[in-house]
Amino acid sequence: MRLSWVILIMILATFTGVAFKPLLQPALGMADPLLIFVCWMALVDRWPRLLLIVVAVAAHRCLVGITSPVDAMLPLLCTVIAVRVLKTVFDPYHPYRRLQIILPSLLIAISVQESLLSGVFPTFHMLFPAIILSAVVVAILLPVLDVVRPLLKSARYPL
Amino acid sequence: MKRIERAYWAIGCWLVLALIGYGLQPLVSSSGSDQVRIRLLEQALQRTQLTSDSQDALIERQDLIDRYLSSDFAGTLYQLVPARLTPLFDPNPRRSSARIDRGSEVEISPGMGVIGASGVIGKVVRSEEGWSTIQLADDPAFVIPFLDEDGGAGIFAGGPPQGQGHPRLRMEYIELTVGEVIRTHGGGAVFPEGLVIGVVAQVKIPHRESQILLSQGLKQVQEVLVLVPLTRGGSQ
Repeated sequence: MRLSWVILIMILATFTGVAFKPLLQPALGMADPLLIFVCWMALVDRWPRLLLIVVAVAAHRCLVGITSPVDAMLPLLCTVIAVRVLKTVFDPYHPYRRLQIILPSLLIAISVQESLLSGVFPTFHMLFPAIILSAVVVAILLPVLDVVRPLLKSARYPL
Repeated sequence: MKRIERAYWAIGCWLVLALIGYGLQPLVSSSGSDQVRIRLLEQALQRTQLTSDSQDALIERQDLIDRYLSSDFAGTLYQLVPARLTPLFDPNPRRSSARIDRGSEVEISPGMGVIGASGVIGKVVRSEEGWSTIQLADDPAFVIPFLDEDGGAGIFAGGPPQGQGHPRLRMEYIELTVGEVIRTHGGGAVFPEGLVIGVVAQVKIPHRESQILLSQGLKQVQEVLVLVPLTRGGSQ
């Protein structure tokens, strides 16, 4: 894995999240490009590299923002574990079927995040726009990440 | 085109797209519905004690101190520490935070309340020498007790979405109406009673899905006051 490219993509994902913040607000953080990037990495990459990225994202959120370490780590770990479990059921390499892995994983992540932050499990009327919006963002972002894959070296996509 | 070249192009296009999004952000942020909300908030605040002809965000430090010095709580319960608030980009899309230019050197510590020209701004969550981090009132983890105009008590919680909050819990029977001003309860010793939290913008059933509009100045550079509690022997 080329660390410099990973850092660049993470910065780009963070910047994209900032740039489109007004549009992505109803998604409750489910359409966060950085979270989608972590999901994409979790589809095929190795555990040590994944944990490195998860720790980097969590550390950034704790140091720069007001998120506590538990609030930062737990949703990310839940996402990664959910992706790893679901990839045993669905094909992680298929361009469309992998959405069946990523969307439920993102849903788990924001449910855990909301429960930790507000102590309330998100209701259906909150989740519905979040799912629709994140499906659109995932559909746009995944093909871009697939094209970027050769720069990362370790992402083992046979696409 | 080689795969590696395509990757470079993809990164370039992604960056351009993000820059376009960033450039168009003001157009999306100042949508018509937001203007209606701002007007609703301003109309409601005109009925309150804390109304000023000047723009809330442009108010000067001395004006702000003068405004609150006549309050019952100033000088008896809390010491008012002026500071300049700058909105902070929080990497977590669900969190809402800001930074002030005063910290532990003036005895600011986590848990203290922060108020602005139009009422409650947030709470201090981290304090260091020369700066403090503020959890804004629209953060989902921001929770304080409130009173409605009839004196009914409840628990206010921030977000979603940003710039808004909702009544999480009713401690007694309350009936919110659109345009009603929600104020601090005074319990919890973070904020004194009677400060403006926001205005009810939408009433829904269940009650916790009602929307309370917060001060539009939350995400602006502005002068604020930190409420440093006084102990019996003087300041902390």
